[in-house]
Amino acid sequence: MDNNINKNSLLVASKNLVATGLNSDTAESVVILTLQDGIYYELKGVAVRVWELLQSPQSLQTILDIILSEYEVNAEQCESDLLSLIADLIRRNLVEFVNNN
Amino acid sequence: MDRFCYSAYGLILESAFPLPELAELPAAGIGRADISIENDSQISIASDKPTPIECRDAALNWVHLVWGGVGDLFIENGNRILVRSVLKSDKDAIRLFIFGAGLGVLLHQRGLLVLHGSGVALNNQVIGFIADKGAGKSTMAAAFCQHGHGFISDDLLVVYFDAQDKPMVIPAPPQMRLWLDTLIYAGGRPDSATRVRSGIDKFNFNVDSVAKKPIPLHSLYLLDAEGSPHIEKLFPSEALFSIIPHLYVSRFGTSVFQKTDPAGSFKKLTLLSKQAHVKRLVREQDISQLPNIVNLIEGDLHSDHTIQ
Repeated sequence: MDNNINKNSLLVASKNLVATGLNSDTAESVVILTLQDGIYYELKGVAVRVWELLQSPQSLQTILDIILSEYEVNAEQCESDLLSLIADLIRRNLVEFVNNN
Repeated sequence: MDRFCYSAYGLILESAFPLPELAELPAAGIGRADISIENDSQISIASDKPTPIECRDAALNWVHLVWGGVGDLFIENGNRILVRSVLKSDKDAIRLFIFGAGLGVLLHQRGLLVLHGSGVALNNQVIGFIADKGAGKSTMAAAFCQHGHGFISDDLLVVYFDAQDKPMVIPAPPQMRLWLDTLIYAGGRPDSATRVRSGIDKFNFNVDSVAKKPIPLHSLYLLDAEGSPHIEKLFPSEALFSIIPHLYVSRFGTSVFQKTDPAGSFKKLTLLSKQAHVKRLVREQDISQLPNIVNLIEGDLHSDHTIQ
Protein backbone atom coordinates (compact mmCIF):
# COMPACT_ATOMS: atom_id res chain seq x y z
CA MET A 1 0.00 0.00 0.00
CA ASP A 2 1.17 3.48 -0.82
CA ASN A 3 1.45 5.35 2.43
CA ASN A 4 2.34 8.71 0.91
CA ILE A 5 -0.58 11.03 1.11
CA ASN A 6 -1.34 13.16 -1.91
CA LYS A 7 -4.38 15.11 -2.96
CA ASN A 8 -5.80 12.15 -4.86
CA SER A 9 -5.45 9.80 -1.91
CA LEU A 10 -8.79 8.18 -1.23
CA LEU A 11 -9.43 7.97 2.49
CA VAL A 12 -12.11 6.62 4.82
CA ALA A 13 -12.70 6.26 8.56
CA SER A 14 -11.50 2.87 9.85
CA LYS A 15 -14.04 0.18 10.64
CA ASN A 16 -12.47 -1.08 13.82
CA LEU A 17 -13.66 1.72 16.05
CA VAL A 18 -16.77 3.24 17.59
CA ALA A 19 -17.43 6.96 17.69
CA THR A 20 -20.03 9.34 19.00
CA GLY A 21 -20.79 13.00 18.51
CA LEU A 22 -21.12 15.03 21.70
CA ASN A 23 -22.50 18.51 21.30
CA SER A 24 -23.29 21.36 23.65
CA ASP A 25 -24.50 24.89 22.85
CA THR A 26 -20.95 26.12 22.56
CA ALA A 27 -18.86 23.19 21.40
CA GLU A 28 -19.01 20.05 19.38
CA SER A 29 -16.71 17.10 19.49
CA VAL A 30 -16.41 13.51 18.41
CA VAL A 31 -15.15 10.88 20.83
CA ILE A 32 -13.65 7.76 19.28
CA LEU A 33 -12.69 4.43 20.85
CA THR A 34 -10.38 2.18 18.86
CA LEU A 35 -11.41 -1.43 19.39
CA GLN A 36 -7.98 -2.86 18.62
CA ASP A 37 -6.14 -1.17 21.48
CA GLY A 38 -8.86 0.49 23.56
CA ILE A 39 -7.59 4.05 23.21
CA TYR A 40 -9.94 7.03 23.33
CA TYR A 41 -9.56 10.09 21.10
CA GLU A 42 -11.44 13.34 20.96
CA LEU A 43 -11.75 15.50 17.84
CA LYS A 44 -12.79 19.14 18.10
CA GLY A 45 -13.45 22.09 15.82
CA VAL A 46 -12.85 21.62 12.08
CA ALA A 47 -11.61 18.07 12.71
CA VAL A 48 -15.22 17.14 13.58
CA ARG A 49 -16.29 18.20 10.07
CA VAL A 50 -13.37 16.30 8.51
CA TRP A 51 -14.37 13.20 10.48
CA GLU A 52 -17.94 13.56 9.29
CA LEU A 53 -16.76 13.70 5.66
CA LEU A 54 -14.56 10.63 6.16
CA GLN A 55 -17.57 8.48 7.02
CA SER A 56 -17.61 7.69 3.30
CA PRO A 57 -14.54 7.44 1.02
CA GLN A 58 -13.23 10.88 0.02
CA SER A 59 -10.21 12.16 -1.79
CA LEU A 60 -8.06 14.57 0.14
CA GLN A 61 -8.78 17.15 -2.60
CA THR A 62 -12.55 16.87 -2.04
CA ILE A 63 -12.16 17.31 1.71
CA LEU A 64 -9.92 20.31 1.14
CA ASP A 65 -12.42 21.90 -1.27
CA ILE A 66 -15.31 21.42 1.13
CA ILE A 67 -13.42 22.81 4.14
CA LEU A 68 -12.28 25.80 2.09
CA SER A 69 -15.85 26.51 1.00
CA GLU A 70 -17.25 26.21 4.53
CA TYR A 71 -14.62 27.97 6.63
CA GLU A 72 -12.84 31.26 6.18
CA VAL A 73 -9.31 30.00 6.05
CA ASN A 74 -6.16 30.62 4.12
CA ALA A 75 -5.90 27.92 1.44
CA GLU A 76 -2.24 27.18 2.01
CA GLN A 77 -2.63 26.99 5.79
CA CYS A 78 -5.74 24.83 5.42
CA GLU A 79 -3.99 22.35 3.16
CA SER A 80 -1.03 22.05 5.47
CA ASP A 81 -3.22 21.64 8.59
CA LEU A 82 -5.42 19.10 6.84
CA LEU A 83 -2.42 17.08 5.70
CA SER A 84 -1.02 16.94 9.19
CA LEU A 85 -4.43 16.03 10.69
CA ILE A 86 -4.95 13.24 8.15
CA ALA A 87 -1.41 11.91 8.68
CA ASP A 88 -2.09 11.84 12.42
CA LEU A 89 -5.43 10.04 11.97
CA ILE A 90 -3.76 7.45 9.71
CA ARG A 91 -0.87 6.93 12.11
CA ARG A 92 -3.39 6.24 14.91
CA ASN A 93 -5.40 3.82 12.74
CA LEU A 94 -8.47 6.03 12.80
CA VAL A 95 -8.42 6.58 9.03
CA GLU A 96 -7.24 4.31 6.23
CA PHE A 97 -6.51 4.44 2.53
CA VAL A 98 -9.10 3.08 0.12
CA ASN A 99 -7.59 1.11 -2.75
CA ASN A 100 -5.15 3.91 -3.52
CA ASN A 101 -4.04 3.62 -7.16
CA MET B 1 -24.96 -30.45 51.05
CA ASP B 2 -26.59 -27.24 52.19
CA ARG B 3 -27.34 -24.62 49.59
CA PHE B 4 -28.19 -21.01 50.38
CA CYS B 5 -30.47 -18.76 48.41
CA TYR B 6 -30.51 -14.95 48.31
CA SER B 7 -31.57 -12.00 46.24
CA ALA B 8 -29.24 -9.25 45.07
CA TYR B 9 -29.57 -6.65 42.29
CA GLY B 10 -32.95 -8.08 41.37
CA LEU B 11 -31.45 -11.52 40.71
CA ILE B 12 -31.71 -14.84 42.52
CA LEU B 13 -28.38 -16.02 43.80
CA GLU B 14 -27.59 -19.53 44.98
CA SER B 15 -24.47 -20.17 47.03
CA ALA B 16 -22.52 -23.12 48.39
CA PHE B 17 -21.85 -21.14 51.57
CA PRO B 18 -23.75 -18.53 53.61
CA LEU B 19 -23.71 -14.87 52.51
CA PRO B 20 -25.31 -13.21 55.55
CA GLU B 21 -25.00 -9.71 54.04
CA LEU B 22 -27.71 -10.54 51.48
CA ALA B 23 -31.48 -10.87 51.82
CA GLU B 24 -32.27 -14.56 52.25
CA LEU B 25 -34.86 -16.21 50.04
CA PRO B 26 -36.77 -19.44 50.76
CA ALA B 27 -34.83 -22.51 49.70
CA ALA B 28 -37.49 -22.95 47.00
CA GLY B 29 -35.41 -20.57 44.90
CA ILE B 30 -32.67 -23.18 44.59
CA GLY B 31 -32.47 -24.55 41.09
CA ARG B 32 -34.06 -21.42 39.65
CA ALA B 33 -31.18 -19.13 40.46
CA ASP B 34 -29.77 -16.58 38.00
CA ILE B 35 -26.33 -16.78 39.60
CA SER B 36 -24.53 -19.59 41.38
CA ILE B 37 -21.53 -19.23 43.65
CA GLU B 38 -19.44 -22.35 44.07
CA ASN B 39 -16.38 -23.42 46.00
CA ASP B 40 -13.59 -24.99 44.02
CA SER B 41 -11.61 -27.73 45.68
CA GLN B 42 -8.33 -26.60 44.16
CA ILE B 43 -6.05 -24.35 46.15
CA SER B 44 -5.73 -20.75 45.03
CA ILE B 45 -2.75 -19.57 43.01
CA ALA B 46 -2.90 -16.26 44.89
CA SER B 47 0.11 -15.43 47.01
CA ASP B 48 -0.26 -15.51 50.79
CA LYS B 49 0.75 -11.88 50.93
CA PRO B 50 -1.82 -9.12 50.46
CA THR B 51 -1.83 -7.60 46.97
CA PRO B 52 -4.35 -5.44 45.11
CA ILE B 53 -7.01 -7.34 43.18
CA GLU B 54 -5.84 -7.97 39.63
CA CYS B 55 -7.16 -9.59 36.49
CA ARG B 56 -5.06 -12.62 35.59
CA ASP B 57 -6.91 -13.52 32.40
CA ALA B 58 -10.02 -12.45 30.54
CA ALA B 59 -12.10 -13.65 27.60
CA LEU B 60 -15.52 -12.74 26.27
CA ASN B 61 -17.42 -14.67 28.96
CA TRP B 62 -14.71 -15.58 31.39
CA VAL B 63 -12.65 -13.53 33.83
CA HIS B 64 -10.04 -14.75 36.32
CA LEU B 65 -9.33 -12.39 39.24
CA VAL B 66 -6.66 -12.87 41.88
CA TRP B 67 -6.42 -11.20 45.27
CA GLY B 68 -3.24 -11.90 47.20
CA GLY B 69 -3.91 -13.22 50.70
CA VAL B 70 -7.51 -14.05 49.79
CA GLY B 71 -7.98 -16.19 46.69
CA ASP B 72 -9.13 -16.44 43.08
CA LEU B 73 -12.49 -15.82 41.47
CA PHE B 74 -13.48 -17.29 38.11
CA ILE B 75 -16.46 -15.33 36.82
CA GLU B 76 -18.26 -17.05 33.95
CA ASN B 77 -21.06 -16.24 31.52
CA GLY B 78 -22.69 -13.70 33.81
CA ASN B 79 -24.11 -16.53 35.89
CA ARG B 80 -21.42 -18.30 37.88
CA ILE B 81 -18.61 -17.41 40.27
CA LEU B 82 -16.13 -20.13 41.19
CA VAL B 83 -14.15 -19.41 44.37
CA ARG B 84 -10.69 -20.71 45.17
CA SER B 85 -9.46 -19.68 48.60
CA VAL B 86 -5.92 -19.47 49.87
CA LEU B 87 -5.10 -21.76 52.79
CA LYS B 88 -6.35 -20.27 56.08
CA SER B 89 -8.54 -17.93 54.10
CA ASP B 90 -10.48 -15.17 55.73
CA LYS B 91 -14.16 -15.79 54.93
CA ASP B 92 -15.05 -12.12 55.35
CA ALA B 93 -12.46 -11.17 52.75
CA ILE B 94 -13.78 -13.81 50.34
CA ARG B 95 -17.29 -12.34 50.64
CA LEU B 96 -15.93 -8.81 50.10
CA PHE B 97 -14.20 -10.14 46.99
CA ILE B 98 -17.45 -11.68 45.72
CA PHE B 99 -19.69 -8.68 46.49
CA GLY B 100 -17.30 -6.14 44.98
CA ALA B 101 -15.11 -7.36 42.13
CA GLY B 102 -16.99 -10.67 41.61
CA LEU B 103 -20.49 -9.25 41.18
CA GLY B 104 -19.10 -6.12 39.49
CA VAL B 105 -17.61 -8.24 36.69
CA LEU B 106 -20.55 -10.68 36.59
CA LEU B 107 -23.14 -7.90 36.18
CA HIS B 108 -20.93 -6.36 33.46
CA GLN B 109 -20.94 -9.75 31.70
CA ARG B 110 -24.75 -9.67 31.85
CA GLY B 111 -24.70 -6.50 29.76
CA LEU B 112 -25.43 -4.08 32.59
CA LEU B 113 -23.51 -0.83 32.87
CA VAL B 114 -21.69 -1.20 36.19
CA LEU B 115 -20.03 1.89 37.62
CA HIS B 116 -17.80 2.09 40.67
CA GLY B 117 -19.96 4.47 42.61
CA SER B 118 -22.53 5.04 45.31
CA GLY B 119 -26.12 6.18 44.97
CA VAL B 120 -29.10 7.48 46.89
CA ALA B 121 -32.74 8.09 45.98
CA LEU B 122 -34.31 11.55 46.28
CA ASN B 123 -37.95 11.92 45.24
CA ASN B 124 -37.75 8.65 43.34
CA GLN B 125 -34.71 9.73 41.33
CA VAL B 126 -31.20 8.45 41.81
CA ILE B 127 -28.24 10.69 42.51
CA GLY B 128 -24.96 8.84 41.96
CA PHE B 129 -21.45 9.62 43.15
CA ILE B 130 -18.46 8.42 41.18
CA ALA B 131 -14.94 8.65 42.53
CA ASP B 132 -11.69 6.86 43.07
CA LYS B 133 -11.31 4.56 46.03
CA GLY B 134 -11.30 6.46 49.30
CA ALA B 135 -12.70 9.70 47.88
CA GLY B 136 -15.89 9.56 49.91
CA LYS B 137 -18.53 7.66 47.92
CA SER B 138 -19.87 5.73 50.91
CA THR B 139 -19.71 8.79 53.12
CA MET B 140 -21.88 10.73 50.65
CA ALA B 141 -24.43 7.88 50.57
CA ALA B 142 -24.43 7.72 54.38
CA ALA B 143 -24.98 11.49 54.62
CA PHE B 144 -28.06 11.35 52.37
CA CYS B 145 -29.49 8.36 54.26
CA GLN B 146 -28.96 10.31 57.47
CA HIS B 147 -31.18 13.02 55.95
CA GLY B 148 -33.97 10.56 55.27
CA HIS B 149 -33.21 9.71 51.65
CA GLY B 150 -33.23 6.15 50.31
CA PHE B 151 -30.14 4.00 49.99
CA ILE B 152 -29.27 2.67 46.53
CA SER B 153 -25.66 1.51 46.70
CA ASP B 154 -22.31 2.29 48.24
CA ASP B 155 -20.02 0.49 45.81
CA LEU B 156 -21.63 -0.72 42.58
CA LEU B 157 -23.96 1.54 40.65
CA VAL B 158 -25.73 -0.90 38.35
CA VAL B 159 -27.51 0.69 35.40
CA TYR B 160 -29.65 -0.54 32.53
CA PHE B 161 -31.54 1.45 29.90
CA ASP B 162 -35.31 1.18 29.57
CA ALA B 163 -37.23 1.08 26.27
CA GLN B 164 -36.94 4.88 25.99
CA ASP B 165 -33.17 4.69 26.65
CA LYS B 166 -33.59 6.25 30.09
CA PRO B 167 -30.95 5.01 32.58
CA MET B 168 -32.39 3.01 35.49
CA VAL B 169 -30.43 2.04 38.61
CA ILE B 170 -30.88 -1.36 40.26
CA PRO B 171 -30.60 -1.00 44.07
CA ALA B 172 -27.81 -2.90 45.82
CA PRO B 173 -28.20 -5.10 48.91
CA PRO B 174 -29.06 -2.89 51.93
CA GLN B 175 -25.67 -2.71 53.54
CA MET B 176 -23.00 -0.03 53.58
CA ARG B 177 -19.35 -0.36 54.48
CA LEU B 178 -18.27 2.67 56.44
CA TRP B 179 -15.07 3.93 57.99
CA LEU B 180 -15.23 4.48 61.74
CA ASP B 181 -15.87 8.25 61.66
CA THR B 182 -18.68 7.90 59.09
CA LEU B 183 -20.16 4.96 60.99
CA ILE B 184 -20.47 7.12 64.10
CA TYR B 185 -21.85 10.01 62.03
CA ALA B 186 -24.47 7.69 60.52
CA GLY B 187 -25.61 6.57 63.96
CA GLY B 188 -23.85 3.21 64.00
CA ARG B 189 -22.30 1.75 67.14
CA PRO B 190 -18.63 0.77 66.76
CA ASP B 191 -18.81 -1.57 69.79
CA SER B 192 -21.53 -3.74 68.26
CA ALA B 193 -20.84 -3.25 64.50
CA THR B 194 -18.99 -5.99 62.65
CA ARG B 195 -15.83 -5.15 60.78
CA VAL B 196 -15.89 -5.88 57.04
CA ARG B 197 -12.63 -7.73 57.59
CA SER B 198 -10.64 -8.28 60.72
CA GLY B 199 -7.89 -5.75 61.22
CA ILE B 200 -9.41 -2.82 59.32
CA ASP B 201 -11.51 0.01 60.70
CA LYS B 202 -14.31 -0.37 58.22
CA PHE B 203 -17.67 -1.62 59.42
CA ASN B 204 -20.83 -3.14 58.00
CA PHE B 205 -23.81 -0.90 58.53
CA ASN B 206 -27.34 -2.05 57.77
CA VAL B 207 -29.60 0.45 56.07
CA ASP B 208 -33.29 0.83 56.88
CA SER B 209 -34.53 2.82 53.94
CA VAL B 210 -34.05 0.74 50.86
CA ALA B 211 -35.46 1.05 47.37
CA LYS B 212 -37.01 -2.19 46.10
CA LYS B 213 -37.29 -1.47 42.40
CA PRO B 214 -35.08 0.15 39.77
CA ILE B 215 -35.22 3.95 39.91
CA PRO B 216 -34.40 6.46 37.14
CA LEU B 217 -30.93 7.95 37.32
CA HIS B 218 -31.06 11.75 37.43
CA SER B 219 -27.48 12.92 38.06
CA LEU B 220 -23.96 11.68 38.54
CA TYR B 221 -21.61 13.76 40.65
CA LEU B 222 -17.91 13.34 40.17
CA LEU B 223 -15.97 13.61 43.44
CA ASP B 224 -12.48 14.57 42.31
CA ALA B 225 -11.92 18.08 43.57
CA GLU B 226 -11.61 19.75 46.94
CA GLY B 227 -12.42 23.35 47.67
CA SER B 228 -15.22 25.55 48.84
CA PRO B 229 -18.42 23.60 48.09
CA HIS B 230 -20.05 24.16 44.72
CA ILE B 231 -21.26 22.26 41.69
CA GLU B 232 -19.73 22.59 38.21
CA LYS B 233 -21.35 21.63 34.95
CA LEU B 234 -19.24 19.59 32.54
CA PHE B 235 -19.06 19.77 28.77
CA PRO B 236 -20.52 16.64 27.12
CA SER B 237 -17.12 15.14 26.28
CA GLU B 238 -15.80 16.01 29.76
CA ALA B 239 -18.82 14.21 31.18
CA LEU B 240 -18.07 11.11 29.13
CA PHE B 241 -14.36 11.14 30.02
CA SER B 242 -15.30 11.55 33.68
CA ILE B 243 -17.47 8.45 33.66
CA ILE B 244 -15.17 6.15 31.66
CA PRO B 245 -12.55 5.58 34.41
CA HIS B 246 -15.35 4.64 36.82
CA LEU B 247 -16.75 1.88 34.66
CA TYR B 248 -16.28 -0.95 37.15
CA VAL B 249 -14.13 -3.14 34.91
CA SER B 250 -11.77 -0.20 34.24
CA ARG B 251 -10.15 -0.99 37.58
CA PHE B 252 -8.48 -3.94 35.84
CA GLY B 253 -6.89 -1.71 33.23
CA THR B 254 -8.15 -2.42 29.72
CA SER B 255 -7.96 -6.25 29.95
CA VAL B 256 -11.58 -7.00 30.89
CA PHE B 257 -13.03 -4.01 29.03
CA GLN B 258 -11.29 -4.97 25.77
CA LYS B 259 -12.44 -8.60 25.90
CA THR B 260 -16.08 -8.00 26.82
CA ASP B 261 -17.78 -6.11 23.99
CA PRO B 262 -15.97 -2.74 24.25
CA ALA B 263 -18.20 -1.26 21.53
CA GLY B 264 -21.30 -2.14 23.59
CA SER B 265 -19.79 -0.61 26.73
CA PHE B 266 -18.84 2.54 24.81
CA LYS B 267 -22.39 2.93 23.52
CA LYS B 268 -23.82 2.56 27.03
CA LEU B 269 -21.30 5.03 28.47
CA THR B 270 -22.08 7.65 25.82
CA LEU B 271 -25.81 7.12 26.29
CA LEU B 272 -25.38 7.59 30.03
CA SER B 273 -23.34 10.77 29.54
CA LYS B 274 -26.16 12.16 27.40
CA GLN B 275 -29.12 10.95 29.46
CA ALA B 276 -27.93 11.82 32.97
CA HIS B 277 -26.69 15.15 34.29
CA VAL B 278 -22.99 14.66 34.92
CA LYS B 279 -21.44 17.29 37.18
CA ARG B 280 -18.47 17.87 39.40
CA LEU B 281 -19.11 18.28 43.11
CA VAL B 282 -16.33 20.32 44.68
CA ARG B 283 -16.30 19.97 48.45
CA GLU B 284 -14.19 19.84 51.56
CA GLN B 285 -13.65 16.35 52.93
CA ASP B 286 -14.84 17.38 56.35
CA ILE B 287 -17.54 15.31 57.99
CA SER B 288 -19.05 18.38 59.70
CA GLN B 289 -19.72 19.86 56.22
CA LEU B 290 -21.88 16.93 55.09
CA PRO B 291 -25.27 18.52 55.94
CA ASN B 292 -24.31 21.53 53.80
CA ILE B 293 -23.33 19.27 50.92
CA VAL B 294 -26.66 17.45 51.15
CA ASN B 295 -28.47 20.83 51.04
CA LEU B 296 -26.36 21.93 48.08
CA ILE B 297 -27.31 18.84 46.07
CA GLU B 298 -30.97 18.93 47.12
CA GLY B 299 -31.06 22.53 45.84
CA ASP B 300 -29.29 21.55 42.61
CA LEU B 301 -31.85 18.80 41.99
CA HIS B 302 -34.75 21.22 42.53
CA SER B 303 -33.23 23.75 40.14
CA ASP B 304 -32.90 21.13 37.39
CA HIS B 305 -36.22 20.72 35.68
CA THR B 306 -34.85 19.45 32.43
CA ILE B 307 -35.10 15.75 33.28
CA GLN B 308 -38.40 14.11 34.01
